[in-house]
Amino acid sequence: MDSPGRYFDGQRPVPRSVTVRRLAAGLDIRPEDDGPAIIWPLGEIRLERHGAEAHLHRVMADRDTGERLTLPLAAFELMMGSALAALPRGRAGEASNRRILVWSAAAIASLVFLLLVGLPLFARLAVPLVPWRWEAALGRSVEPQVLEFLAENTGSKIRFCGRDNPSGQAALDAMVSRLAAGATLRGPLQVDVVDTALVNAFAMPGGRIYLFRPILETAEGPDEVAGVLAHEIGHVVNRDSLRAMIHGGALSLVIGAILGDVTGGSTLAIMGKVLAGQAYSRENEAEADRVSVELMKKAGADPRAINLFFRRISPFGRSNRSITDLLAAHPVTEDRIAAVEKLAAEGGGQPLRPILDKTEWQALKTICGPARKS
Amino acid sequence: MHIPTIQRPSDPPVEPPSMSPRVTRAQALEAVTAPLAGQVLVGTFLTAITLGIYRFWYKTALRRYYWRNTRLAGDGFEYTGTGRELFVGFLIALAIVLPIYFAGTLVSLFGGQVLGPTLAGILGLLIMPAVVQILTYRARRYRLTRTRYRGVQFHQSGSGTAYLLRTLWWLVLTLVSLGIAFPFFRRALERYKIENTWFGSAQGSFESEARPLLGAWMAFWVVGLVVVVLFGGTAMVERSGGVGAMFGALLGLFLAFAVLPVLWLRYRVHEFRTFTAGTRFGVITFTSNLTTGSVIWVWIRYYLALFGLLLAFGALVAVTGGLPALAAAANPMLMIGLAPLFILMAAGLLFGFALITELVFRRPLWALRVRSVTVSRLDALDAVVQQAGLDATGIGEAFDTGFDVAG
Repeated sequence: MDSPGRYFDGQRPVPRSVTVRRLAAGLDIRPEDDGPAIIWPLGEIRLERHGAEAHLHRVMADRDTGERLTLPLAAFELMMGSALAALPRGRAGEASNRRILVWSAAAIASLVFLLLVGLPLFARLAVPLVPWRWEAALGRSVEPQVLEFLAENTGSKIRFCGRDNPSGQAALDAMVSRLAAGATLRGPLQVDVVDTALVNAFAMPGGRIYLFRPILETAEGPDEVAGVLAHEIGHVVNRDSLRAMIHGGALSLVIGAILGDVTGGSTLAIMGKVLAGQAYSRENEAEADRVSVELMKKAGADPRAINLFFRRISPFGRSNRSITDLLAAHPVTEDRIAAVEKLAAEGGGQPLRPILDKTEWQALKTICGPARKS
Repeated sequence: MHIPTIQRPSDPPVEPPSMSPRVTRAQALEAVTAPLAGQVLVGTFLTAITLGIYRFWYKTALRRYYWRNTRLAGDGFEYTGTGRELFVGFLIALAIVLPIYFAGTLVSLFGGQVLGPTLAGILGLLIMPAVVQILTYRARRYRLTRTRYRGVQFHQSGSGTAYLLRTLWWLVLTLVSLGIAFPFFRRALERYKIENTWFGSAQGSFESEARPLLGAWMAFWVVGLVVVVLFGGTAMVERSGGVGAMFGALLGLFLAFAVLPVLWLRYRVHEFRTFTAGTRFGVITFTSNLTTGSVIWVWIRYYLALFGLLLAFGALVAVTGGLPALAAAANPMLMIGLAPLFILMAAGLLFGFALITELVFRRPLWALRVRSVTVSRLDALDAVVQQAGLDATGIGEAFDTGFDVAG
């Protein structure tokens, strides 16, 4: 069962006509130009089928020798018989598809673990290592982007009301300092009222807090605003936004690395950030609520007022919710409201007195000018 | 008896066996369009379910296909690289690039008002592109060492740093000349690449001039300038809002989206022909008769196919879009039953896109380029001898797009 073939010795790109014969342990390749016979052991033969041709190459000790042999596929199959199935497969240094899939599954499993457990843990452990000065610098450097995002989202330019209303700002500062007196803070707080139509409040890294105008308009007393503000101070105390940024940054790095888009900015990374932010914010909210109740109690104000406010802005009867709304970032549940009630009831009985007097409250409520209905 | 058949590098080459009829006349490169759709579907599917990890093996499979179906004088080229090498190369590239990216993030956050943006700019606009340029050159070395023809390996000498320095020098000259020197920039880089390309013992040489390309380049350059002037002009006139401004804007749009791409492709095709004609391996020479029209036609078919796919997908979405509401009204449990339908639709879009990109765009362009090339004096291959110790690692492969299509 001899077959003619074309042989390349891996040294010169010049074909030699050969006669190929099956031996028990391999192939005997005999050049027609009477050169010495060449033996390929079975274990070194790799086959690729190209149409009606068998393209063989030789791999010795996992290295491609460069030797090539081409012969009719039918003749090769006949020659090999049952030994055909036993030939090693693939190129030198190649893993089988099954091994790739097994390792991919393992990689995905460890990735899921990293995303669900590793990164949140990393963020939590990394936060105490960041000096407050750095956190403040971080807050300053992301502030322009946040303001730009808000401006795009609301379609208007962002205005800080207190900047051109000193009496309003004075009332706000009074509220802040009365609340902050009870808190352990690493640096000064800077609170501003932002003139937009969204019902929202949030804390940035470094003690920067934004209250949005509609909060003042919706609230029916200074303690409701103070409750929300104290909640945000809770986020500052717990450095939640720093943790969220570390978590988000690490997440986008990881996702970017998987997708091969290491310079970040991919849509998926951003989506992932948003999702992950939502997933771990619930316990942070409960913790910030706890701080809120504590600060309100220390200031002698009504710690339950925040619940009144939450009930007021609850989705029933409201239509224009947007993604940047308070409810999206701070999901209010009956659990949270009950938890606040419980905390407020503990060791209660102090005389309650609103955190601002009537004049101050009036000044704060109109900090952005005469009340508007949004 | 086992007769060793691998010659050590020190062995003197045996006398050239010369039993095959000598090929002295010119030979065209052949492009065999073997079935490919199955590989594309399997590769896309596996890439999707492994969250992208399989892409290195898929890219390897595609390269094997294109290499082996590129045939010269009856023998196909061979791609001997493996997915594992690409994967390892990707990890190494990550290890190089991630710290740069991380440093960029840190300095832009904490560097302050002046220093932060400056350092981030240096990292992002100088160091990062420089690293990518070096890695690109190394990626080419990897591809060449994994390419064999008739059992003999290609390889690449030279260094990524030298390539980078050339790039920088010519970039400066191109900028100073307001872009007019672009063909010289391209020629310098191509020359460096070709002169450092080896097939066994045969080293490439490059004898192209950039001057023949100036005509095609200046056509693109001038129209580009007109577009810039038109848009700049209309932006200024816009406030007065005349008919002239409108006409200018429309003309600018037409030039920018219809004429400029055609002129760019025309330049790239001229460049391909010129550079191919300037490439030599000893006495082996090449010519290409690639035409602009054929390349443009591929692009048009590609866009039409993509448009058709999106149209079909849009129609499907329109038809099925009402289903969730209907299902929710009838029985909320039905919503869960609809999930497979939407997964199927997304998969259809993914597979459709992969098939169109490979079968309507990449393979036709590859076939056009390959079939346009004729090789002469193949008999000189007799003098070529394999070189030893050439394997390069896969560093930098992660940044390799795999195909430099004419466009």
